[in-house]
Amino acid sequence: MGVAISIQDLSFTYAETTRPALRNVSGEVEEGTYVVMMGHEGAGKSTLCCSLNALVPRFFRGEYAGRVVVHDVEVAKARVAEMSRRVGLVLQDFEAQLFSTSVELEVAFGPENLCLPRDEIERRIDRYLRFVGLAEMRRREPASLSGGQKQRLAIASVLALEPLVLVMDEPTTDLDPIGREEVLSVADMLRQERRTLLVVDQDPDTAVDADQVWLMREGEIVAQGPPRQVLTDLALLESCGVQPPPTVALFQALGWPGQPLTVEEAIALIREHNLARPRPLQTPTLPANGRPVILELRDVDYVYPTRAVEALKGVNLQIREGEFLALVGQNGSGKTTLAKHLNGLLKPTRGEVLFRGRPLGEIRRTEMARFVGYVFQNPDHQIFSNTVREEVGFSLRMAGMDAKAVEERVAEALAVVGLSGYEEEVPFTLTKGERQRVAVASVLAAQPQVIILDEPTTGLDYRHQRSMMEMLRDLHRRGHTVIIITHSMWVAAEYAERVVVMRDGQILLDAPTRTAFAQEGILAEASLRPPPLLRLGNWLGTSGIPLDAMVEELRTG
Amino acid sequence: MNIFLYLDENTWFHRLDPRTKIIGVLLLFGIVMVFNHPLYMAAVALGLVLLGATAKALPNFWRMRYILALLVVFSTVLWPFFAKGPTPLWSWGRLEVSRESLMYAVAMGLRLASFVAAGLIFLSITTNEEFTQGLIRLGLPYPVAFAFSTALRLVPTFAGAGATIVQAQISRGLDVESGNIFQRAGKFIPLGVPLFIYAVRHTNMLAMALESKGFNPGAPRTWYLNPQMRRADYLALALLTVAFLAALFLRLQGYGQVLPRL
Amino acid sequence: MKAVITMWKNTRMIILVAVCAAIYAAALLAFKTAIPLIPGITEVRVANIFPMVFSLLFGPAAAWGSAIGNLIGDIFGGTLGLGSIFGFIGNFLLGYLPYAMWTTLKPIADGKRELALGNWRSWVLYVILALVSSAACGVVIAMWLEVLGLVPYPVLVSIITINDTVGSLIGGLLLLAVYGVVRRQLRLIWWEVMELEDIGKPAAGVLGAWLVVAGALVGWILGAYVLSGQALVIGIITTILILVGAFLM
Repeated sequence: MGVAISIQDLSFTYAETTRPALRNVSGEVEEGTYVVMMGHEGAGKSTLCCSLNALVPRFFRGEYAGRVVVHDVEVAKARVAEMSRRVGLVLQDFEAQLFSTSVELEVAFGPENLCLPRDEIERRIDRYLRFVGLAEMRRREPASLSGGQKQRLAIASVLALEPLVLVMDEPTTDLDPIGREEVLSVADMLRQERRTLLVVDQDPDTAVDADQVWLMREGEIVAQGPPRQVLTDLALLESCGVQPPPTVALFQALGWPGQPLTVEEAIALIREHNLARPRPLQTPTLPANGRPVILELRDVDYVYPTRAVEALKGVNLQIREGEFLALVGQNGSGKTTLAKHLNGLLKPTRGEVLFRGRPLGEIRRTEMARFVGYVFQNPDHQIFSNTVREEVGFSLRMAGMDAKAVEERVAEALAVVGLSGYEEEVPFTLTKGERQRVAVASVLAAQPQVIILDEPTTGLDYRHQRSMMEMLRDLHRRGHTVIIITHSMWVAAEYAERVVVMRDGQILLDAPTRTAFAQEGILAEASLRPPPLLRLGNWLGTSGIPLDAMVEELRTG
Repeated sequence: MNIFLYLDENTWFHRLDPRTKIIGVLLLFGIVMVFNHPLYMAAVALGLVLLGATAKALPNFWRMRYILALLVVFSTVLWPFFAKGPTPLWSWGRLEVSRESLMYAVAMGLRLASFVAAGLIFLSITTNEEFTQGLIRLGLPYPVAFAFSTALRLVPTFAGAGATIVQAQISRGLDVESGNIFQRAGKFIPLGVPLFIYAVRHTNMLAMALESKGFNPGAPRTWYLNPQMRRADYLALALLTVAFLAALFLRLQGYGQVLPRL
Repeated sequence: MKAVITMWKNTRMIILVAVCAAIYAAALLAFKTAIPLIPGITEVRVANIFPMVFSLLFGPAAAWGSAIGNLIGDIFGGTLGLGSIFGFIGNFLLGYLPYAMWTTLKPIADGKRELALGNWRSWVLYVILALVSSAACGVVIAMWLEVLGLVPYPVLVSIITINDTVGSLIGGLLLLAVYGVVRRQLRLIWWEVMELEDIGKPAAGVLGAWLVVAGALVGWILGAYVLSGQALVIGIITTILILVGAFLM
């Protein structure tokens, strides 16, 4: 088998920046192998992807040294359009790679650029739409597809060029769990076809099946090898801002023999070595807090006026002061619709919503912003000012507060999110994680008792996810009621006290976190699964949630 | 939100070649332009309604009913003051309304509505990609056609982002519903800036994705869509041309005219 | 004028056309039915905040983008008609004139492409260009609709001029807010995106600019307020002046 990609001593610095994005990177990918790249935000993964199809250095100019050869072509000497026959590139942002007005034309686009005859284009549309499971959608508008479908369409449109190497740069980051599975199953099929496949992904689960894992940090490749070797070096993974496989972490903490990469492996090892005995699981049943109800939904139905779909059906929910609650469920299950009722953005079609016993209809919208803060998923949907100070102070100025009080509140809010000293920075220049924090601060500044966050960790790397959630935990300790909408099961498990599972506009399950995650059957009805550690915990019968609690329990019991 | 007006039916009109549809609607526009007598215009408007019914485009007429009605009313009220005719009905200082100008005004109202109707028929039977493909086949350079169709694709995306931005800012206490016109203008900034940046951020990503798929503005390429002119297309174009010429002939003979202007 | 053609070789510029068109169209559609001024012809165009901002940032891409965006607004607003032809040209001018005159309207302009937003002189130029480009757009569109016999010239030319001027002036706030980001973070200022040799030099820029100023202001004020009886003749003559001036830049 030949060499598909060969990288020799590649360094690259983007024009008008000083820090190199890649530093002396070398590596080789055999034909027909599957490589997963991992690393923190800004580690150089995307730059490396772009250097394979000549976007670096042709589209992104800069200082380039070293050599990249893909199937006998030296990349730096080729044009991007030429490379498109050899290297297909799928990007994270599916919105930004679709530009046709119908699904089939999207797939036809690449082959048309290659000047292929019509019947060959037809064959490729058929073949690749079927491959990604979109054959039924041929005539649809790409805009009308779900996120997972859009990303699969993007993959099909790249595959239609029949590239020798397929590179996917975080193809699942912006997707919900179902969309993620859809895309990963396509990756799986590609692997079975023995295509050369390079995928950037955050999740150790994806990397488990790789032939090679490349670990990047600060523009360098710090480890290259089979998953069992790379994914078990916990210290190294942490230093690269990558989440280590939790089962490996558990076994190492307990000093148990073996390095299980999956829950199944872990269970087999525990059985084999008789490491622990499963016991009946004790789960709490009573709500942890007896404080007054702050928000309440009574028999709420909601129908979107433009689509005649019932987004909420007979929802009853009481939220108490000082709770930390996670709303989980698939896209379209009604989580966001429910959350938007809590600050009055949406008004129920039937039923009522109460804030401290007062119907929301009686409270002015502008006043509501001071009681219930709502942070939208994408911070870029709300940032508009030229300084962080102005941005964070916006809602206070809208409320007519005087300049000095605004100043104090802004400083306070920035301190809470860990951005003190950022007052004069331009928000648009900050990293995604920092912009997310600015968005949170700008909501916090109004000092709302309740703060709702839609997908606070999406699009952040593991390190930033942790620090964002630690910050929310801190807010919670200060007495705020925190409500998060999340797809990330480990985030819900480790940080929330109470989990509400939604499906088809109804509440399927509402229980203290550990109790909720013990109900694997009910979760499966909502197409959800507990995070790996809790699946293992359910089997073992441990009631602790974070790693340390579980370790403690297994040591003593 | 569905902004597209295409109606997925399978009529004789839908099956026409996109070139026929484009040239056809231009001929219809031409016919609408010929007369300025209200009776003749009424005949043209009725013809368009019948055409719309055959093309199953009437749901779109219904969707635009307020605009259509307003056009007629507005134009009828406005034109008498600007078009002068020989038979005065009423005058006040420099303002004067004549019998002819009143008739002309009604005709102009019908003309405006007929324009919209002809456009609606076209949009009801033509998909976005047919429209683009038709323009290319009629000689529009590919990069321009590409920009046009990409814009069509992006409109719903940006409209969706716009809606989310409005909600996000309302949640932060932005009051979009009150204040005078100047105060409202100032409130545009918290909405306009994020939308603008969000959209423009797209540019680099889109350009990257495009080039990765072998896009090269100047280079030759092939087409997957391959519309064919058939007998029905030539027949349709012939019929419309004859109708247009006949109308023109009538007008030149002095029929269908209340005032000697377009 | 050269850059208006050569920009079609550049992938980023092509995308910018699409992005400008889509923002403009989305905004047009969002406010289409809000406050109609002449139903089916024009409304309070909140969206007109954008073209001048696009122009000063994205140059020729803004010209095509505004033109195409307006066309899409017509298409989905249900108001596609023969009027759309000059709607296309008028909005093209709205996106073309500001950047083209920014360097050529000497001596008010200093000839530099860079927008010195801290400088009051830039803002004087901004206000003048907002008025001139809006009036030019108004003259061209109103002339054509009068020819078609759809709307009387004097009514429409004033509505468009005033509406677009107000829009462009509010757009100044937007420009102030996004200029730095587009210039430095996104690196999408047109004269840096395009190759220098593709931009070219104007044939007779200063003359062209002043022809446009004359055509736009005479066409608007004379046609709307002084000699409204001769509106059509004035409209046609000044339209020709504006188009010739635009070609010379």
